[in-house]
Amino acid sequence: MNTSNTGVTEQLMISQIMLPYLLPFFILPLLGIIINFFLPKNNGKNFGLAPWIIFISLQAVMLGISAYLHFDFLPALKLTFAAGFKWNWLPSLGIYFDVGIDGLASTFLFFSSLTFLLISLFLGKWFVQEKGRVYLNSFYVVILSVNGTFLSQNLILFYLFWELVLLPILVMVAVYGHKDYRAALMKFFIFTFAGSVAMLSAFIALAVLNYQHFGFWEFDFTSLGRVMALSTPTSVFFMVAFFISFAIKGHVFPFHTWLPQLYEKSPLPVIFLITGVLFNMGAYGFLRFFPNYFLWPMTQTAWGDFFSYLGAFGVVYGAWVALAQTDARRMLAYLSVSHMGYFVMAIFAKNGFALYGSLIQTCVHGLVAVSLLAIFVPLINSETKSEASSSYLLSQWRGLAAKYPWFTTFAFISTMAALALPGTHGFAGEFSILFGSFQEKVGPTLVALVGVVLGALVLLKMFQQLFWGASSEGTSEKNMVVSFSKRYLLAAAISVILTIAIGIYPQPWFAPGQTGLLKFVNTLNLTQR
Amino acid sequence: MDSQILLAIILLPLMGSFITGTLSFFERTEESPKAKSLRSGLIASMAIGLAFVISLYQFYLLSQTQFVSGPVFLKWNLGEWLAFGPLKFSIGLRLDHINSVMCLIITGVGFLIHLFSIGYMDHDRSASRYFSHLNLFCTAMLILVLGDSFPLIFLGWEGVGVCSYLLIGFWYQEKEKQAAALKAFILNRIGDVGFLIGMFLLYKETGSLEWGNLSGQSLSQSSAFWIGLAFFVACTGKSAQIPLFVWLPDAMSGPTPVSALIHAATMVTAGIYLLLRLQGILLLSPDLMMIIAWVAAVTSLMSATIAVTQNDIKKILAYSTVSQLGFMFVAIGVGAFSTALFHVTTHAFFKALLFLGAGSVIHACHGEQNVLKMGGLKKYLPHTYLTMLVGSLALAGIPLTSGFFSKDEILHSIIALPYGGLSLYLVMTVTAGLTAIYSVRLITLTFLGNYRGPTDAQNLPHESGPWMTIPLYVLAGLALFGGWMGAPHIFHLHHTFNAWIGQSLQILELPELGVHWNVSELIPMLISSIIAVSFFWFFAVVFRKFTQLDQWWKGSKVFIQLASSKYLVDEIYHLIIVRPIYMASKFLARVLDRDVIDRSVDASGGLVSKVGGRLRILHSGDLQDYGAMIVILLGLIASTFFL
Repeated sequence: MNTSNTGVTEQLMISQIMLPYLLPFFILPLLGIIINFFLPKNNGKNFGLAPWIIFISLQAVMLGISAYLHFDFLPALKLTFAAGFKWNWLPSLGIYFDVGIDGLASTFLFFSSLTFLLISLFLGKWFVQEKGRVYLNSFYVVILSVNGTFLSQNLILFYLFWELVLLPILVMVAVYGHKDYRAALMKFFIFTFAGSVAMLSAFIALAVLNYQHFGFWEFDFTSLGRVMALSTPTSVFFMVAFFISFAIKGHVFPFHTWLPQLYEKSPLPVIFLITGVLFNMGAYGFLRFFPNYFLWPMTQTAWGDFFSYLGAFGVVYGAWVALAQTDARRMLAYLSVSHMGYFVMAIFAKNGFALYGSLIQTCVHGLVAVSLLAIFVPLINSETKSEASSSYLLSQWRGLAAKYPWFTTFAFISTMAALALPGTHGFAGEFSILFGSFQEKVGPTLVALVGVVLGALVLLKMFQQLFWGASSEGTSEKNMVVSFSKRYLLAAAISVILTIAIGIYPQPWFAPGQTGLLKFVNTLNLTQR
Repeated sequence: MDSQILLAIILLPLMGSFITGTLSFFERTEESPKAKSLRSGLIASMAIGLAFVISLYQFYLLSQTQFVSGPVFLKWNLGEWLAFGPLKFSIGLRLDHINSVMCLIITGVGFLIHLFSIGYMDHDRSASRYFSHLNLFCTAMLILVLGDSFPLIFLGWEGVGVCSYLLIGFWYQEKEKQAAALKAFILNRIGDVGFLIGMFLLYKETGSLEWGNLSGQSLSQSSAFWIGLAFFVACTGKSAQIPLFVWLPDAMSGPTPVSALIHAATMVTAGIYLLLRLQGILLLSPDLMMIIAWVAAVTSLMSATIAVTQNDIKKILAYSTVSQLGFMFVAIGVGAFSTALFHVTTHAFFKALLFLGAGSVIHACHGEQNVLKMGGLKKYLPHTYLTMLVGSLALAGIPLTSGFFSKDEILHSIIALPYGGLSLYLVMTVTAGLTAIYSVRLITLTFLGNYRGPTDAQNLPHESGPWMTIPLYVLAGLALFGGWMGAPHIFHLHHTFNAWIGQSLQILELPELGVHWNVSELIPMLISSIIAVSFFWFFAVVFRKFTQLDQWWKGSKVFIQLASSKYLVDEIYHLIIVRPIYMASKFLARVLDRDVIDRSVDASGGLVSKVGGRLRILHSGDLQDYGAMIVILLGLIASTFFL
C-alpha cells in the first residue's frame, strides 16, 4: 500500500540513515523513567540531584540531535517528504509505526526540546524535592508524547501520542493540585476527551471513506489528501472536526474555558507544560494538516473567513478578559488564549507569509510563555505541600525592582517579548502574522490589532504591580523574600539571549521549516490563478 | 556609497547602555551616588560623544560624495531579517541629507544632555540605571533615523516608546509616575498600530517597504490618503498631537534631563521625520495635507493656551512642546517639509536648553517645580537665568534668534504655499503671540521679582556646577545663533539649510523666491516680529505684578479656568474610553466568559455530570494507581505490535 512517490530502495536507504537519529526521541524518555525506578531514595526524604541531572542530560542529548537535524541535516538533504522509517504494526488495517521528520517537524522538535530544557532549568527546585520523582516521570511521558506527536506519520500513531500527554497532566494535577482541583481537572478531562472523540471519529471516518472509494485501508497522512478531493462537504466536515480537536488542545477561543480553571488549580510545572507545550501540539496539528489538506475549504468556502474572524476575536477577547484578572495564573491563561488567536487567524489568512509567521509565533510562544511564567518561579515557595494560592495574587507583590535589579531586567525583557516589542522574538511571529494576514484579509487583522494594545496594557500592568512601587509599604517582609538559584540564573540568561538573538535575526531559526509551507504557497498561487 | 561605520553610530550608545546597565547590577549600595553618577555618566557620555564625532564624519563624507545621477546617500546593508518565498525583509542603514541632520541633533544635543545629567543625577542612587536607559534611548532613536526600511524604523519607533516608558517611570516608587509611564506607553502603542497599518497598506499598494523607493511611486489618491492617514495617526501618538497628545504633559514626571532629551529634542520629532520620509505619498493627497495642517493648528493653539495657565515649570514647557510640534506639523501640512525640519533643529536647541535650565532650577530649589514658589532666582542662579532667557527669547521668536527664523519661515509658507491659507495663518499667528506670553511668564515668575520659596539658609537655591552650566551655555549659543543657517533670502543670505536638505528632499518653491523685498515675505515677518517683541515686553511688565492672566484682565476668567483645567480632555477620555474598557473587561470576565461561554460549552457536552461520575473512579488519588495505569496502557499499546 505504499503510495509514496519515491522508490522502495530510496525509502529503505533513508530509513537506515534516520533510525539512529529518530529512535532516541522515543527511547531516551523511556530510559529516563527506567533509571528513575532503580535510583535509590536519599534517606527517604530528599531525592537528590542525580535524577535531575540525568533528566537534564537526556534532554540536552535530544536537543542536540534535534538541532543537528533542524539546522544541518535536513536542509542539506532537501527532501520533499518526511525522512524516517516504517515498522509494521497492524498492516492489514493500514496502521504502521511510521515515523519521519521534515522541516516542519524538525522546527517543532527543536523548539519544544529547547522549551523543555528551559522549563526544567527554571523549575529545578520542583524536581529535587520529596515528590520530585512524580514530576520527573510525568515530564518524561510528556516529552515522549510530544516527540511522538511531531514525528508520527500515521494517523493512529499520531492519535496515540496526542492522547498520551493527558495522563501525566492528570497525574500531576491530582498529586499536587490545589484544593478543589477536581472540578477543574474534570472539566479539562471532559474537554480534551471531547476533542479526542472528535479526532478519533474523524480519523475512522476518513479510513472508512478511503476504503469505500479506493478499496484499501490506510491511515497514512496522504490518504487525507485523497479523501479531501472527493467533495466540498466532505472536506468541510473534516476541517471542522480537525479544527475542534486541535482547538481544544490549543485552547482556541471559544474552547478555552478549561484553561483558566485548570491553571488556577494546577502546580506551576503543569502550567508551564500546558502553556509551553500543549499549545505547540495544537499548533502543530493545525500547521501539519490545514495548509496541506484543507486548502480548498479554507480558501474557497465561507468557513475560512469565519475562522479568521474567530481567531481575531480570540486575540481581543483573551486580552480583554485578562485585563480583569487579579490572579496571575488566570491572567496568563487568558493571554495565552489571546496569543492563540493570532495563530488561528494566520492559519486561515490565505497568505504564505502569515503562515510562516504562525510557525514562528507558535515556536516562540513556548519560549515567551516560559520566560513570562518564570517570573513567578522565585515568588512561589515549592516546599509547602501545595503552593500557596495567594502568592499568585498580583496585589500580593510590589516593589521588587528596588531589591532585585537583574531579576527586574529579566522580567522586563520577558514582558516586552510577550507584548511583541520589535527586537524580541515575540515580534517576529506577531509581525509576520499581522503583515501577511493584512495582505489578504483586512477585516480580521484590524480586529486583532486592537488586541495588540490591550495585550500591552495587561502585561505592563502586571509588570508594574510586581516590580514598581515602594517595596516596604504595607507588605509583610516574609512574603517579600525571593530566592534564586544558580540554575535559575542560568535559565534566565539563556532565555534573555534567545529573546534577543531570535528577535534580531529570526530567519536562520525558522528557515528550515519553510519547505513544507512553501509548497502550500505554490498551490495557493495556482488555485488563485 | 557603502559606509560600514554607520553601524558604529548605533552600536556605540548600545554598548554604553550595556556597560552602564551591567554596572548598575554590581554597584555596592554604600558607594556615594556622586561617584556612581560620574563613572556611569562619563561612560555614557563618551559613547554618545563618539557617536557624535562619527556622525560629523559621516556628514562630511556625505557632503563629499557625488553620484553620477540620482540622490546621494551612504548605506550599509545588514542582511535579510525575514524571508519567505518571494517576500524578503532586508534591512540596512541609509544616510542621506535629512537624517544626517537628525543624527547630529540626536548625538550632539544628546551628548550635552548626558553631560548635564552627570551633575543632575549626583544625588540619585540609581544613576547607572539612568544612564543605561538614556543611552538605550539614543540607540533606539538612531535606529529610527538611520533605518532604511519601515520595519527597522518601527524597531526604533517602539524602542523609543519603551525607553521613554522606563525613563518616565524612572522613580517607580511613586504611583503617579507609574501611571504616567503606563499612559505614555499605551497611547504610543495606539499610535504604533497606525504605523503597522500604514506599513501593511504601503506594502500592499507599492510592494516595497524601503523609503528610498517611495518617491515617484504611482499611487491612487485614495490609497495615498489612507497610507498617509495611518502614518499620521502614528505621528499623533509619538509627536503628541490631537487626539493622542495627553501623554506628553504627564510624561514630565521623569528626571528633567530626560524631558529635554525625549520630550523636546528627539523622540517627539520622530513623527516629523516619518512624514518627511513619506513626502512622496503625502503630496499625492491634498485632503490629507489639509487634515494634517488643521489638526496640528488646533493642537498648537489649544496647547499654547494651556501653557499660558500652567504653574508647574515643566508643564509649561511640556505644553509649549506640544504647541511647537503643532507648528512643525502645520509646516508639513502646507508642504513646507524642509521648514519643518528646520524648526525641529532650532527647537531642539532652545527647548533642550529650556528644559535643562528648568532642570537646573529644580535642582537648585530642591525639587520644587511650582513657579509660584520661585521668583527672584536671577540673584541665585545667574548662569541659568542668562541662558534660559536666551532660550525663551528664541522660543518667543524674538527677531534674529534661532526660533525667529524657523517660525517665520513657517508663517511665510502658510501664506505663500498653495496648501496653506489665510485662516490657518491667523490661527498660527495667534499661537505665536501666545508663545511669547508663556515664554515671558515663565522667565518673569521664575527669575524676576522676589524669592517666594523657603528662605532659611539651608534651603536657599544654589547655582549648579559646571557639569550643568557648560551644556547650558553651549545650547544658548546654538539657540541664539543657530538660526542663521536658515536665514531667509530677504536678508540677502544663502539659505544653507535648505540647500543641504534640498539634495534629498523635494522642496516646494515659495513664489517670488529670490525676489528681494517681496511683500508676501516681508509683511508676515514684520507682523510676527512686532507681536513677539511687543508681547514679550508688555507681558514682562504684566507678570511682574500678576501671576495669572485673569488677575490682570478679569474678562478672561472663564477662558483661563477652562484652559488651566486642560479642557478636561483627560477626564473626557477617562469617562468615554478608559472606564468603559475596564468595565467591559469585568463584564466579559464575570458574565460572558464564566456564565455564557463556559456554561454553553458545558451544556453542549451534555454528558458532563454522567461521564464525570463514571470517571471519578480514575481519580482515586492514589499514586500507585496512576503508575499502574500508565504501565498497563503502555503495555497494551506495545502488545499490539505482536498481533
